[in-house]
Amino acid sequence: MSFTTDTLEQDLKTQEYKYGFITDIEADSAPPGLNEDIVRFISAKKNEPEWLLEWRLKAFAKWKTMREPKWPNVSYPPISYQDIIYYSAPKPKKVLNSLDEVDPELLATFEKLGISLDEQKRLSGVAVDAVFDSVSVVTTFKEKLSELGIIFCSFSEAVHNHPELIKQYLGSVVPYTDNYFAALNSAVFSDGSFVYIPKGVRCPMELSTYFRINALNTGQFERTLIIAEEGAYVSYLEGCTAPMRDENQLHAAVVELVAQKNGTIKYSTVQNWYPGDKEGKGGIYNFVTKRGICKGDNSKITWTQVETGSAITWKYPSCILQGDNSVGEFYSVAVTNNMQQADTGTKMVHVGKNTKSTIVSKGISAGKGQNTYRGLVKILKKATNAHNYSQCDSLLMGDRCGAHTFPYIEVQNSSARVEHEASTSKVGEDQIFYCNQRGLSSEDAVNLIVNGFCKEVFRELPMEFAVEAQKLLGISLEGSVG
Amino acid sequence: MGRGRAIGGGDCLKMTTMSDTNLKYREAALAASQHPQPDWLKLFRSRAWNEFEKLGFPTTQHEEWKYCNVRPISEGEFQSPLVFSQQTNGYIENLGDDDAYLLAFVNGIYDITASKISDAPVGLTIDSLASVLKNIPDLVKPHLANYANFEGEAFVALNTATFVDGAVVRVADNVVVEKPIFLVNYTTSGTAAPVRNLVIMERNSQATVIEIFLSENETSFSNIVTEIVVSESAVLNHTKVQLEGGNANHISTQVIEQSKSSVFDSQNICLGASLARTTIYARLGAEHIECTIDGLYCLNNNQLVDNHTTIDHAFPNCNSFELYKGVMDEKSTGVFNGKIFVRQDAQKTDSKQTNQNLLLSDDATINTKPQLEIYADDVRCTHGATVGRLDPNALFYLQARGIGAEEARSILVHAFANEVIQRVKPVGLRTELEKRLYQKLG
Repeated sequence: MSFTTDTLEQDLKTQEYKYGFITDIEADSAPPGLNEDIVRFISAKKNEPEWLLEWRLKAFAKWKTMREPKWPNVSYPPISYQDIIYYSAPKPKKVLNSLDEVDPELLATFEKLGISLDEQKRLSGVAVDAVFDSVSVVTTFKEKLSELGIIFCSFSEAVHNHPELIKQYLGSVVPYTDNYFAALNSAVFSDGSFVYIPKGVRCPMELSTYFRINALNTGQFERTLIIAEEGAYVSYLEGCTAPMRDENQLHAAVVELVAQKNGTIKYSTVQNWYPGDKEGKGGIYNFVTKRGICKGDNSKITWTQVETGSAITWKYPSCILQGDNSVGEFYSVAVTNNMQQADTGTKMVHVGKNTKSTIVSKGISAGKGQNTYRGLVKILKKATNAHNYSQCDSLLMGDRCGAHTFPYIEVQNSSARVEHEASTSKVGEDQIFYCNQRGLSSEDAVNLIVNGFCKEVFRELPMEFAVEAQKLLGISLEGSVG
Repeated sequence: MGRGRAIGGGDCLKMTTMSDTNLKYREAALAASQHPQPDWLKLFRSRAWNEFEKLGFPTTQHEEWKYCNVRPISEGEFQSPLVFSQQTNGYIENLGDDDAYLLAFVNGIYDITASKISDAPVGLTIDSLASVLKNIPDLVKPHLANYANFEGEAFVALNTATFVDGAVVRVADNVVVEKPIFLVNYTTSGTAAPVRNLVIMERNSQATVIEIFLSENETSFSNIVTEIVVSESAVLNHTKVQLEGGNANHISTQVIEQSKSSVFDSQNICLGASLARTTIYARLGAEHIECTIDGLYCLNNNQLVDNHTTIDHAFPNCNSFELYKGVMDEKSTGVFNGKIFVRQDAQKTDSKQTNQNLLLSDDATINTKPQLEIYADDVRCTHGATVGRLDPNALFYLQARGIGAEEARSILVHAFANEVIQRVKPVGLRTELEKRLYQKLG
């Protein structure tokens, strides 16, 4: 797959959301609403052991006592949690051995999304654990990975096959008490991915999951857990598209990463959910809790995200740098166009000695989009020689959009070095003029400038994602420069 | 008296649930309302009191007070300033030998014997607020309590309800005041002193105003609100110097309203008090304004100093600059929160904000949050924040040249802090501040 000006132009012509379609699969859903019975229903549906049900119920009890956070710099009508369907699964089938057994309609959907499984399987060498709505339908490359002792499966499978790992790590990074949406997720999470890389193993391929929200009115509550044991390495990709909808859909996922001594986890996201139409109607509410812990010495966690979709994004992938010499990185491109709102950033909590963190955040606002960077850099008392570098740049297009920066810096150790820089600017008319002179259309010129602005982040992405991200950026900003 | 009813009557029921502290402030508010003053002010006061009663003192649950625990104030036992025994001698410490006008206050109440305003030129009004309210209230009517909004601001509400006196400085059209104007307040031990200052710069005028806050060493609580109006083409140099005693609590709110082509150039120097919070809000309400808000905080012991600044760009073509420097030693905590708003119409805004912090001890803490909120596209806004310690290479360089470690450290810290002190206009005060900085940092 290569990126050319032609394909971009074609994409730009399709002003409407490219991936908006609904696949009609008879869903096996819970009735709308949320109470203890629903939690039990979900747990029973998934044949979960008693301890997990108890954990869900504790989370639900906690959730009932919590209030929805109001501090993010976003506004939206109140969410009615009793109107949401908390469980929906594609019709259960027998265990699948090959793609032929998969519902052809489902396959067609993937085809439209451009992530045809067999193509992926054959050409790209990427193992795809496709999550369609809430239940994993097919998992590829599993056998190959299992030879190395790598576990890459759906969360429910992991609960049955590796309960000791789930028991040990579930909620260890993001406890169910963490925040409102994490508690909600802990109570009703449907499925997700589980990755375990054993000691000393370098995962030979990029692991990838495509999430997709499907049945109408179904909130999706994914739960991802990735563990890199001592000296292990894994690169995990997450990419999202969702069909066009009028009603807002709530997505409250939780991602937990654990990196042991010398372990490395790279977590990359391209998020392209339906952002709503020009008037801000519809669109996904993306309220996600992502956190990684660098448990052992010399461990490293890198978050890379390209956020172009969703009506509202509320997401702070964070790193707790507990081990000495551990490294946390956060690279982000967030685009808001039309009525989109994003309040995103990261938290870097330095606990161990000689810990390092890097934050590069690029925000692009166009139309009436509101883009907020909110970050915390915390250097605890014992974290000697900690170093943080943060850079937040905003690009504004149009005079009705906004770019905001809320960096919190808390330092309790005098040997710390913390640097924070932020700038805000607009796409210069002279820059566009320069490109126009050389025969580039204004639209192409803007794409060129924006891609240059985001280069620092894109180069952190795995190749296929970098291409997709560039394309997405072009589509997202369509029509923002006149 | 209508005013008395609004405060004292009507809501007697609430009194039973109110804490002793609040009762004391209620008495103070009631007493403040008995002083001679125009009716419009009484109305403000009663609304402000209701607001304070509704809000109570802020807690750390409040985002704006997250790092600033005001428990020493909310749980402190303070006397109302109305019963103080005024000590008239020697409380104004040596503040440099500048030839200046001086307005002195003890616990926010005008002290005529210590003041020096006899030779004020035509066009310069410097007077006590109480006397202005009694004799020429129309002078302050368009401004007093007009800028410092007490809604949601407990300390401004409390000040508005309880202040008795303060300073009024008014410079008439086209008047240039050569000599600096010093406004000095001294708070005595165990007192809760509300201070209300108002500076009015009329069109095309120029002046230098210095606010200085002192106190005794034992615990006290000064609650200051300063409203500053800079009219068209006026230039104001403003310095706030906070040198209160080691156990004092100092809460100050500064609100600046700027008009077209005006210049406001300020420094906020904070060396004293055990708990000090300064909130500065500058509204750039027209085009071609220049606003500079600089600050320095040097802390040791258990000091907690919190600086919150907001620069609100509401119109196009304005520039703002902000440089805040902090030195934290021993177990002190520094807090900085600088907000810059650029509203939708404020195109061509140029705004630069810098916060630099030096941590000299492993027990010191800094919490900084430089914040930008931008709603216009054709702007240039940058902000930066740094936290670090003294550069070991620089220390080594000095030591290699025969300068002892202690002195080398002192030289470097001074070089760091001096950038802000150098901007203080009156030479005598500047020299005195440099001296005090040396003393403080050892």
